[in-house]
Amino acid sequence: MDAVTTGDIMESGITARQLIVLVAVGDAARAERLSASLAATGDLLPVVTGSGVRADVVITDEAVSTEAAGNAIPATTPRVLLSARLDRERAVGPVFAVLPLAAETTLIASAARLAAAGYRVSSDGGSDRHDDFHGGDLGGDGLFDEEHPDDTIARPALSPREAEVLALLAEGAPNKVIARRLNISVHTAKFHVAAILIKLGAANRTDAIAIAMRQGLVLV
Amino acid sequence: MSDFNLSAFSEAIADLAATAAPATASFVTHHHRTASAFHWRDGYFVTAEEAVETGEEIELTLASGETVKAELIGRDPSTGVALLKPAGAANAATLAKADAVRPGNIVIAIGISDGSALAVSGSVGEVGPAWRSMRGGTIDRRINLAVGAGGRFEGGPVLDAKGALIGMLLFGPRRRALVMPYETIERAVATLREKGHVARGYLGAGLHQMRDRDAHGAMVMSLDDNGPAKAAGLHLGDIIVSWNGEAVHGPRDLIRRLGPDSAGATVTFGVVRQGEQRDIALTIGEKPLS
Repeated sequence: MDAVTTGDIMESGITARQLIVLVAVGDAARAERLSASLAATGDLLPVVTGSGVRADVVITDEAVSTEAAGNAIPATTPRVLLSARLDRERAVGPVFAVLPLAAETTLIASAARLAAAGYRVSSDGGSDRHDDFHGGDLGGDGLFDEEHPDDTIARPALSPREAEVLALLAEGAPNKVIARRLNISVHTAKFHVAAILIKLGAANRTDAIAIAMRQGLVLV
Repeated sequence: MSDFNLSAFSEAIADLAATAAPATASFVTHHHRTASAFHWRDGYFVTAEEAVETGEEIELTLASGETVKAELIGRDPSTGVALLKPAGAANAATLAKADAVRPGNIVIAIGISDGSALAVSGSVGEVGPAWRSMRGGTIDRRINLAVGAGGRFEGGPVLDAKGALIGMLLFGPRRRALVMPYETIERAVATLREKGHVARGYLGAGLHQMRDRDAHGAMVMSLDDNGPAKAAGLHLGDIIVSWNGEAVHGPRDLIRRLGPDSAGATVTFGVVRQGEQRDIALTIGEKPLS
């Protein structure tokens, strides 16, 4: 998962009731920062370990989940695991989502909401998987869908700049317009577009937009 | 078949190709290969949308050998049609519309490349009903070809045995040649000439394929604050599982339904939220399709 869509991933107030989020992260300073950010969302109520409240969802990391503190959490409570490893196998048991250690707060909040609602969020490491986006056959399924690549497999990690370029691509902007809007040279815009095509495994711009829409990188 | 003359048949095919050749043009794509285009009418040329890159200058080489700068009027990813307007060339030949074709009918695909005339003949391999493209375009008929046309024919005209225009040659999966039918091109050209783009239906939601346990659908992962999805009360985490009662298998399926004709329609979505299904009525918005 990559928080590249837009800044608005989590700005809608969903629930009438606040979700109680147990923040059980090894690094105390990180736990504090994370709690503050989650509290700022309005619909999440962060609590710390030992508060005795029954949480709807637990945000934890490897430092904690293997220790005794982890055992105090009911085994059935959905967990969002912040992991340095990002294993390719799907999360099992009560772990409903695995995010990178450095995931943005909006993304963590988003995963926590989904996990609390009972959804599993599958994820991958992204940047090291260039070869298997579309089974090697570069794009080109523009109008036709007889051969389904698995849309669930890969969500390429675009840089923030690439995400901005992608949003403009989706509006149909040519390189010249992209350059002007982002205040970069046309050459640089072309470079970013080329990188996006490679990362998405797209044959051309149209194909890139279609793939990005299917993968949630561009609003449908 | 006693009066069949193979030599005359061969000449007839070559004559049809030669007669239609003045309507064709070619250009070099951003991948440095040659693709075809042909004169539609009023000085407008059509070609394969996939071969044209937005914002790049297009130089069309006409059948006369003359090279002219062409403006990209617009592109329609839902039908694969791009519309070009070269400077001049208004009096290029125009091809007549073909009657309905049947499987087995002879077809001729033509083009030009570096001043050489190209032609390949074969037959109609399959004729099927209207279908809907990945980007939601309604394609009037499914016409697959049995011809050995290479990449240079992409975007070129496909003719019947009278030399009339069946449609434009495109490549489907596994590089199978197929025809974008005349009527479909005609609609796309009319819209592009009028607006410069075609519309698509807009929800204002980022979607993710959901394929977990028995649930198939498109999960809402992000929302446009000013979009139709948010206005209709869709929430993050909702899974869209049906469209007016028909199953939606995921984002791919949903995108296909959000074609040019969906804008402004009111649709009832079946939405699973926290394990419970509910109906949400939503008026589809509109954005340019790109």
